[in-house]
Amino acid sequence: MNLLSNPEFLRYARIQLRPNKIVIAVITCAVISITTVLVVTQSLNDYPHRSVTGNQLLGLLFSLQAFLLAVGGGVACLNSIYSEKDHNTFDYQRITRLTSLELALGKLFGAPLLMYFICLCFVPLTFYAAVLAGARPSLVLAAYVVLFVSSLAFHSLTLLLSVLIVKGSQVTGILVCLLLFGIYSTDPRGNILTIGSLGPFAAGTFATAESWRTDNTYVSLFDHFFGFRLHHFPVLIFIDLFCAFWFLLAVVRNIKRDPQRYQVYSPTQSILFALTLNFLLIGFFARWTSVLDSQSFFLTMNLILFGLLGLALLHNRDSARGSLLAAHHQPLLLEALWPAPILLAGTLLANVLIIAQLIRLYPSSTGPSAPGSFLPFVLLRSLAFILWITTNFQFLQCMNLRRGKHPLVLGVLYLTVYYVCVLFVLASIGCFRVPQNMSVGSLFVPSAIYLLDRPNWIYNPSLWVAGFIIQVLLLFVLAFFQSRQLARLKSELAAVSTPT
Amino acid sequence: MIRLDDITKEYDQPGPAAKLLVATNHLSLTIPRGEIFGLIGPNGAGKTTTLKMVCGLLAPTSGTVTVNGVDVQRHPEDAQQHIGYLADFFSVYGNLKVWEYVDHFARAYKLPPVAIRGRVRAAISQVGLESKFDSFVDGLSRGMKQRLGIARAIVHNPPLLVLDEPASGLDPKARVELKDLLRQLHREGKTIFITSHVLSDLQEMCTSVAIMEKGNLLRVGSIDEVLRSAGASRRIHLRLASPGFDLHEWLHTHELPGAAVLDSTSLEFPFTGSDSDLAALVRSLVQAGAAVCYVTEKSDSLETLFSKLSSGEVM
Repeated sequence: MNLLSNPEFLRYARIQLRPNKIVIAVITCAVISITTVLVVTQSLNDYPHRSVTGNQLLGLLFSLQAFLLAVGGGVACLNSIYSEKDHNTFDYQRITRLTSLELALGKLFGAPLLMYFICLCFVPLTFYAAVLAGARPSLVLAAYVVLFVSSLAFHSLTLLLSVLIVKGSQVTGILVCLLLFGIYSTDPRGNILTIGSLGPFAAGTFATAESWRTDNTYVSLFDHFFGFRLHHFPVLIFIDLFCAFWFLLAVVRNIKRDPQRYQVYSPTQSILFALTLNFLLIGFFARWTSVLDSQSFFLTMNLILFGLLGLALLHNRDSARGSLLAAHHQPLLLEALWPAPILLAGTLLANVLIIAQLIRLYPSSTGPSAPGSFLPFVLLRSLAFILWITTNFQFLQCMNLRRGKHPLVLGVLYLTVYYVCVLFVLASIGCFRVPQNMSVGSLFVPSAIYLLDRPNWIYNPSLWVAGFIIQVLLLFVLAFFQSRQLARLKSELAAVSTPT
Repeated sequence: MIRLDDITKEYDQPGPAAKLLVATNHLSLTIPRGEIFGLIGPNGAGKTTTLKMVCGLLAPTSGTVTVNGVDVQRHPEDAQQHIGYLADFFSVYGNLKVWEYVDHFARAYKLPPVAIRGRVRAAISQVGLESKFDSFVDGLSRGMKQRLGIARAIVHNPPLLVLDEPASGLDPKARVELKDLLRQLHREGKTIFITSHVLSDLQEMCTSVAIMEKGNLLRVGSIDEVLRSAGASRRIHLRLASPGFDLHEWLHTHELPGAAVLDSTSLEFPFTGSDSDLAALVRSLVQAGAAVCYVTEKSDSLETLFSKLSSGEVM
């Protein structure tokens, strides 16, 4: 089934591209375009630098189109499934013979259709600006490709949010959408990363660049991947399509499912996604001040990544019940330990990649024969990270198996309150200022992830070790509590299992 | 047509005093082809959950559902082509025209492109909305929207219709029209699985019913079977053409416990015997000289039976 015959796409086309809407959009864009041309023509009399004015206008127009397409289209995608759930029409979509992929593609391209049309209306003005600026046609075309592909990635993300958000959280959804757009549009090129912006605003950079080879202090169309110089265009297209693929995969996996049984990714997919993102992050990483600072950066990025993937992996009571019933009410070992094995495997593999890259980048600091090698501390920090992520999600899993309205939200709240309070107390007694006291903090929070280095270690190694042991013990304690939760769930099932 | 095998669906009741809620408890049910099967129960009995599991919209905690021999959980899209579903709320795309709305679902059910136009027209005329063909859905009345919902459900000509409270919110005229429409669809060979709070409507329409409460199936079978299984007695009402015959005296010679002479020409009594016993009884009355002109049977309505079951009067 091609896109034009996709019923969902066709439905959006019928609703959004009715003649009256088209006429309004065309007239509005025409008025804006004509006014702009008149103002620019007038200004050229006073300031005869056509190419400068043209470049400014071109950049502005691409920013406007990026905002319209990415944010406008993103909000439309965010509403597409959420509002259908709200109006109780989504069940009718789920029961048709459309496959999950067809339904997802119909919504992905259909929901932002009006925004695509408005952008199309601005194309003549953009061409006028490009001619004025003397821009290369191939770069303007590339800018449109970038605009489309990066918007597509963002739309896939908002569509996924639309699948996952529950009733009553639309405003939160829109705020999250805007926040993500802000992060996505930031140009990360700097001291840490050697890659340009991946968001839709990168289109302006391409359109206004002097040539395909532009690479100067202010504008660069080149990235560095493991030291290799790559053009930003294929890199951007690849990464945005890669992200769109993964977000769309999650949408397709869940769009027609019973909402109680949502599972964003399978465990294998989660690990694969995390590892690929780590690989890209490591590849585009530039050498930073020190090996431990570099590691801190990677671990912070992975904190966000595994934080999101960990949430997606958690089982709710319904899925735990399903597993228990499927196993004929026998307790499941994997269920009692869930999601520890997956998170352990994922974080371990990610840290192997990180450490390998750090050894490559800092041979003099991490080499086995290097005096005062940082490698043991790199390893200990990674270990602290792995244990910390795993115990925290083990706790959240325990909470998610509790009966209540929003047990997971409550779990996240408990964790937040705990960390905020402990950090305040530790900071007030100077735990993070005085090297001798830093090891004390590791008993309560995983300070080893960021603070553990040679000078801090030597003051009190036994306390640092105790911090690690506490994390390991905590893991077992939480697994025990989880098995008790499952046993309770099992007894409830047994109580209602007598057929009437 | 539909087979539910040991279906259990459990939820957590929301709220601070949350409890495990068993929406359906080891439910097993078979609905043969060509039935109008009514599912009766109070709010929260598990009717909607059952219907949604039949349609593959909810996954059972345990058990299997098959529709037309297809496992709904394993092959939802294959099973769903046999199902037309109408939920218990009015939910349509208001910003589409009537024909666009039905056309959208005709395409979504992957009808052959050449057949779509004809099927859309046929479905719309079947529910009597030809005059609204080019109108926006937003402008339709509730009854019309409900009929449009049925047009959507039948556009792919499924052998099974799953209708959740289709009459709710409709005025009496619209309800009568809806009943006629469902009867017509039944005559065309469709199996209809329906829930309703209007039990008299179900009693009129359904060939079989099931009564549910708190996730448990209390009774299943044809309406007569269900009524009899609950011990519902037949009450016979007899009327004579003219007064003059002494019904009291006749009753002295015939044992009819619970019989009541309503007036000089009418008699009513509970009857537990067979139809031939009843025929013999009427014959004896005629032979005794009574001018019997009218014999009718009154049985408990579904509504009475349901209230008896709910109150525990009948187990």
